Amino acid sequence: MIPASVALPLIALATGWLALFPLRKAIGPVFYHIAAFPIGLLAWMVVAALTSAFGIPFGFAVGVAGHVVFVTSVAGLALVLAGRMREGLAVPWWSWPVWGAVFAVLTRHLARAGQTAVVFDSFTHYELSGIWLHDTGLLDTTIMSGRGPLIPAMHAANRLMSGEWTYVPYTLFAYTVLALLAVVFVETAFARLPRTPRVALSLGMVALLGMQPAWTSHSYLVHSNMMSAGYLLIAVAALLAGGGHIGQRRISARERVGWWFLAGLAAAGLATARPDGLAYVYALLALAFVVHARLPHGWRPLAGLYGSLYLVTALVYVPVFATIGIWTAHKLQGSWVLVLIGASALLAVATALLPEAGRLGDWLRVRNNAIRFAAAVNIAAILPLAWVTGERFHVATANVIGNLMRTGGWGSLWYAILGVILLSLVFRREAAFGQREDLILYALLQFFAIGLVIHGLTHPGRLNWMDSFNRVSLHVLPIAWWYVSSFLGALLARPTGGDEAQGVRVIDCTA
Amino acid sequence: MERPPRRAKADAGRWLALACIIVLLAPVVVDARLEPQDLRLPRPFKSGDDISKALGRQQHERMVSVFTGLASREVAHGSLGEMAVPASLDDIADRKPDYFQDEARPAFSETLMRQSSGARIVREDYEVILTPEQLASLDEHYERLEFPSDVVAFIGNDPEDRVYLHTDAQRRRVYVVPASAAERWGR
Repeated sequence: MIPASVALPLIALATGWLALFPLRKAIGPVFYHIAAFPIGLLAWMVVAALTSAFGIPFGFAVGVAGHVVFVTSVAGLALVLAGRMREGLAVPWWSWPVWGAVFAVLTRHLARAGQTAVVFDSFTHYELSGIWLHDTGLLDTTIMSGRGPLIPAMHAANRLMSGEWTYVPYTLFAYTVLALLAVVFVETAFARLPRTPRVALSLGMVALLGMQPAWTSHSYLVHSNMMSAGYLLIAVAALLAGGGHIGQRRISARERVGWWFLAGLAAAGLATARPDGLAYVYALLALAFVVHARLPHGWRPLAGLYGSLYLVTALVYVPVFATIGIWTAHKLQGSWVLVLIGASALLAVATALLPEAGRLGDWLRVRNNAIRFAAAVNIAAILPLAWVTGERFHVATANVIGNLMRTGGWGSLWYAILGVILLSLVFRREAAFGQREDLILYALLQFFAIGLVIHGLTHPGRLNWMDSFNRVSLHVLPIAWWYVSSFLGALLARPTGGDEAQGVRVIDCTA
Repeated sequence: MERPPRRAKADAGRWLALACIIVLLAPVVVDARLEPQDLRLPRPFKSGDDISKALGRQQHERMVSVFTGLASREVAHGSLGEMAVPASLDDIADRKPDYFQDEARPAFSETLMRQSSGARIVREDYEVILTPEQLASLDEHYERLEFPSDVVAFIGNDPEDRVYLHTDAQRRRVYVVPASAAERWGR
């Protein structure tokens, strides 16, 4: 019998393959295979929603039913929005058995190695919630307000397959992030270099990140942070790819829909991996606003992004609200979930309409004006908030800086990142950045701005590596490392940069 | 042919920026040789698919609640229906609280016991301390299984849907006793 530690990831991989099948040509074989496991895991939330709605424990039948619902819903919506893809990149038939074999070998190796890292939250938040969910099938207030539904559902699934301790998926997410970073570094950060240094530097920078003590610890830690980092990176990369910012190939309007559909699925993973995940999704939605502002308009890519995000969250939250109502709790209240989802709908409308709004729309289409617009909104929102909340906001800011620079267990990593960011602003002309690097930096800063708002409003945290905001910084570390590598790559390349060198091309999106 | 001055300036700027990046990344390269525990981060260890190994290193006093729940599952041969506890959880046994940011968190947590056992927690008025005779009887009729945090489960051949939590005269150990045994004592 296949042990749970191996079966769970393999089932997720197969589920992701099926769910993403209509998008495979749009996103290409590399992203398709890398994203399959993280996206496939989302199906277990649908299983949990079904067990919750019907008041039954986790079982084989409801497990199958949940996966069928997830795959048919996601693939069905993808077909409706993106249509049958004739253009795009072919996915060779042999890539499935090859990727499956590599994934299976890696999973088995990790299962046999048996490595894990544990803190108090690992069992109080996740394993025990998984036990509860497995036995009762109930997504209760404790889980929805304090954990998010995704990870307890994953732990419950492991229990269903007779596992006792869920540990392999966390390390698989770490490898997923590193693999995806290697791909985007080759395609973007070092793309202007000759082949050998391009590949060598890409792998070198990925290895340097992977060898950091903080990365090693989080690669095994049973907690939400590495999974959130994976979903965030997939979403950011997919948003940029859909905007024509990754790769030299022209992409069609349908392909853009496919990319943004993937981004929405990954955003759903980010939203449900933690109670504050719904708030951090706004970093992605804001990035989508900024990218969308400069491109030919059409409603389908936005429908892809928001449609897939709302589909997955609805499959989970609607049954939960029907079962336990609009819960009240110490952490995430049910009413806040509704407010956050409602506000995202307003942002969707703004994203669709503002670029069409006469002179404002024309202004937004000028390079970086959309980023300036977003920055202005941030400043207008955050500074009054800081003034109103006073001490708590200042303490939260001091704690996050203190943790990143000193007490958070990062070593010299964030010093280097901050230093490179400042250097990149001073040496902008020498780097000859295109819009992509501005977007990556914007995504990074927007994420921290949201984090400051969350922690300024709720709890300012403490100077300790376990501090919530400190661990949340891991989510955006791959994005930051992408920016660092991009600056390095830009300096090493011959200075012919800018948007033209990045080949930003998107064919008419008004289909 | 001499390079135009503007191009020479740009090259100088590039090299300066590159030199600065190397200086900034050098400590990151050095950090790569460190282990997580060098920066007081959780260190990976081998547990495999064994929850007792995964949790056995945890020093929190509240682990007694977790292992009580896990022990109950062994008594139930799966998930448990009800866990009977005294009116005050502090009566189960004498355990110190954990402290989190100067706030005391009792060792016995209903939430942790409920989640780890999958059971409803039911408050009852009963004698918590087992006599030596009762302990001997349990050892005679049930299989004793020891857990970390001084938790002991008494496991019968048949699954039990209900358990009682007891302690001994020293009030240190937690005994998870099947309801069928407790009923013999007139409960």
